[in-house]
Amino acid sequence: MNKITRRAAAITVVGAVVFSGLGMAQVANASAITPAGNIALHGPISGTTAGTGAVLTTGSATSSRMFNGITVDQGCPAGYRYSSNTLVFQGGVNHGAIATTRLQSTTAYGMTGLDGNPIAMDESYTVPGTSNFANNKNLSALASPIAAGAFEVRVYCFAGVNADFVNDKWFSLPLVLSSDLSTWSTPVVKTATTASLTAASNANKTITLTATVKAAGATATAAVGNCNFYDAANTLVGSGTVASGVGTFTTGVMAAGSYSYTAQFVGTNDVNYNDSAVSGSATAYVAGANASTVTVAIPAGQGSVMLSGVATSVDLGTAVLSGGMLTATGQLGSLTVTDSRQTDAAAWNLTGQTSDFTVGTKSFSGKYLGWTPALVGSTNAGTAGAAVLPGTTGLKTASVLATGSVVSGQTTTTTGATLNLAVPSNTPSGAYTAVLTLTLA
Amino acid sequence: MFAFIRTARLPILATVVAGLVFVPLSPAIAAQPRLAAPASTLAATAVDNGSPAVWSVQASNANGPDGRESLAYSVGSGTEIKDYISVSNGGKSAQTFQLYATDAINEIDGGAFSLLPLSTKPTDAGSWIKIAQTAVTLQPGLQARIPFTMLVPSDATPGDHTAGIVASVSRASTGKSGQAITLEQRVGVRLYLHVAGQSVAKISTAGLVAGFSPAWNPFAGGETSLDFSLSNSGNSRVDVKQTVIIHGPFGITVATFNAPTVHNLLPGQSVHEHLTRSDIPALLLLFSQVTSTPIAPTDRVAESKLRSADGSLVAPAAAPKFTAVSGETMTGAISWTLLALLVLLAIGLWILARYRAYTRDQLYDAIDAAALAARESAIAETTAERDRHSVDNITANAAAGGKHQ
Repeated sequence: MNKITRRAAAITVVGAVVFSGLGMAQVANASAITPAGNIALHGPISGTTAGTGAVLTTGSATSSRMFNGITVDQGCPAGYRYSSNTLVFQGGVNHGAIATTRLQSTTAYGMTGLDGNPIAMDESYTVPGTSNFANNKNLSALASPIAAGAFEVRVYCFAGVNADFVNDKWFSLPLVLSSDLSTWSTPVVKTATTASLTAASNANKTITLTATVKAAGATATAAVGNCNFYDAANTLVGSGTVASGVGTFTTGVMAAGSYSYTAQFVGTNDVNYNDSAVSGSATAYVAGANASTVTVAIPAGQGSVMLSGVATSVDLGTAVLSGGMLTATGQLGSLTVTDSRQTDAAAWNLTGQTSDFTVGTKSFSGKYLGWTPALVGSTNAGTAGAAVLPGTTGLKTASVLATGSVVSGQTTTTTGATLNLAVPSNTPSGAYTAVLTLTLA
Repeated sequence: MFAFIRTARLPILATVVAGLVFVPLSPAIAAQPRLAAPASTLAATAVDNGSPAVWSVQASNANGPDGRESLAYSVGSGTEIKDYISVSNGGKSAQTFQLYATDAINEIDGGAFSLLPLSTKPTDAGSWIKIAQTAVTLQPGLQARIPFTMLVPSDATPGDHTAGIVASVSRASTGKSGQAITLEQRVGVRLYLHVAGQSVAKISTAGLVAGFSPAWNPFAGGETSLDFSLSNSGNSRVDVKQTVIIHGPFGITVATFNAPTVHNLLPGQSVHEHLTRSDIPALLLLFSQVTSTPIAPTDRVAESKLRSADGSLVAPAAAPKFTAVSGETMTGAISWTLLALLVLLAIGLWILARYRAYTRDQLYDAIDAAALAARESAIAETTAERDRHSVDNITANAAAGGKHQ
């Protein structure tokens, strides 16, 4: 190898290195514009409305024009303002332009973005002797027609006279072409769903299957479609139209035994929700005999926790101003808990909780009601709960009126309470109502 | 009041719904017209006959209560459970009981078992229960065995789900101005459902703060208090044992004690714990460490009568791994009376010192004065003596005449 050849080789290597460096930099630049501009396609201008028409989210793919106007909320970036065009790409492949190339020098095109201002072009601008610059054809008329499915409309900003679809910049609008190639639309991001199934055997030996369509844990009340129900052999047994997020199906009469099912939500052109996966199984037991309510005399010798309740409710009367608060007191009559359950049964709890006080649209919190529980009589097995002062949480949260102990014999506990209401003095007057709930469990 | 309601107001109450009664708060409203109460799910069918309702609700089968203390099931998700409750009227008059199921909650200040009020819609196990009828009217001395179905959905989360089925009696009282409180009394049977799957026992404590209340007696210990919230963030029902260790400065252990066990802390529920301990010496600083240890719930009957969906007894699921959590906090512990005593003592000593200094000064002054006086008197005396001597000399000299000279 002589000197000259070696030198030429060296130069070639250096050149290759420099070139590849440049090339890489250009590839990094060759992308949609950042931040991505928001493209909107617009319909025809109605009446005398200035500017562009209503935003389109769907349209015909076969009529004369795809859209009437196009806007982008930013302009072409500096250095890419020689010319601009609108093209259709699918899978990264250029399928051809759907407009006429706009030039920076031609202001009759409207706001092309080639001056750096946001793009806003409409058919109301005319360019004598040319086809429409905003959009001059429809999808079906593309030089290379696209297939059904996702595609994009790109607004290109070209740096020079020769369009470079790799290195020049563009704004992109993802769209979807319907399977019959007749309609384009903006894609909807559908929400994933799940199906929650219950299976209930009925008195007439049928089984009612109820599937609730859920999205992110909540019932998808807007879901459109059907719930399909499958038996243990994965055979479709029936389907129910989803209404308010719930689809049901009732089987025919079944022989006694247990039956397992699964369910799946399948949308019917549901634009909001994806189909669900098949649910977990739910099992119903068809019994030989119907369960029904039977009423008999109370049998002797059955241990229970018996509550002897209060015959009358509480009257707090009229609150009077006292110490800067409107206060009222009332007596909760005596309640007697008779515990005759088996030895070692768990302790019972008698708790109370109040709702808010309301009258018409006025209300005040139940936290302003407190109480002082007190045992009545001297032969009580249980213990009274602690006094609850009005104001902090009061009886708005469940509070103990009395608790029993682990059973070691038949016991009786009688308890009552003094109720104290203390509301701020600026509480509007009114005949308030509330519900005080006492629970023995 | 009662007779009044029964005779004159019963029709109104019946249509107005037992759920709500009017309670006027201020005299100004006395003349206001009654507002129509909104419809409530609690129908006003309860017979308000003036005598107290006496009733119980029990786990049951088709032939009556079967000795189960609570309804307890261990099943997979997507299961249908059929069972019975019994409602007994032990009172002296016919009574209508509203029947419904709802989710269980822990009372906030100690964890007592309670149930959501009717106005709060259940979202968990309580919403999975369908009772054959929504109300039952029973003559005195009668018992109804009422079937119910629980449909555990296919996507029920593993772990414990707790609910209650209640028979409820509502009583309304309307004051003169129209103010009203409806008293809803409920007797419930607990329902413990365990759904197969990964059981996780996890508790957490938050907001641990300590306080110290010194005693009046400067030499007695004070009372230290600990406040914190205890939450069940797992999916398993747990009892929680609590151990408190209180340290003074330099790691001196002041007290170690077990706080009352919190029973049946339900998944997703929190209780506010307030623990106190007296006889804690005021050591200026106290460090309190609370260790909360979850253990398997000790609700014996619930576990021993655990049933599967077909009613057969099943063994409880394997206990989850229990992990204790602990928190530590610090508080000042100063006995103000002791401090006051020390201050008084210091002041006393200072006064004493001052007094002593003062009296010493006075003594020295007195000594000085006495010394001065003595000196002066001595001088005076000497002078007088000398004078006297002089006089005497003179006199003597005079008397002696010129004998010496």
